[in-house]
Amino acid sequence: MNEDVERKIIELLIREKRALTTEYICSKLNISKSLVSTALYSLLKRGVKRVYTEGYDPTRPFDTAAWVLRRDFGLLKMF
Amino acid sequence: MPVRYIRTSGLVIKVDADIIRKVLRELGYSDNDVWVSLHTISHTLIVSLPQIAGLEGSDFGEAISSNTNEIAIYDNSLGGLDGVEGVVNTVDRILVPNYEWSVRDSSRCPLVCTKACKACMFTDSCFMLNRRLDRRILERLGWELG
Repeated sequence: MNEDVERKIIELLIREKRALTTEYICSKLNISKSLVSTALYSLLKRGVKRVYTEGYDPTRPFDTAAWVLRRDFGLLKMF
Repeated sequence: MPVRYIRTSGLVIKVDADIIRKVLRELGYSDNDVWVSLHTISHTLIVSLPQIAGLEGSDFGEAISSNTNEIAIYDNSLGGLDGVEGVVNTVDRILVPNYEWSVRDSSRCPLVCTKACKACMFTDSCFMLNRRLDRRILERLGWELG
């Protein structure tokens, strides 16, 4: 289940080619925040980077954080 | 020792003593220093609360039991303030993601202090004067985010 969510997030990041906020990812994939949270925590160690954009709100650090693929993403074996 | 009774809402966390002792030994502490790790974990949970729950630091309290390896984080007001309840998903029994990520970030000090400081782990609601805290314990526990 979690691997499936991780794959969908990676596919979305590849497709959009820009930093995506958690809220955008959740709405686009129609997946709950708690599932996306678990998946992103795992992906942080395997090819995804957290970035802070203008919309970042420290009182909502997860919802408003943005996510991009790391430069070395293509070199990592994801699944 | 003075005792205080309060009926309120809160979160009780039981810590795995074996994992904690292993980490303490790696950092040169003795097995009797479990309290340091419980206090540190307690602070990671409490320092993020005001910002996420929208309340004051003094609206929350902490309690530590080194006999049972348990930590309690609670609303420091009779009957509760919906502070702690607001950061816990009681249906799924998990922390809400905004709070969880804030807690995980709290081990990272913007000033890169050695153990704990005002920029990372200190809180006004600590009745133990912010003593005996060590954020390296959290790093060893793999708590921090990438």
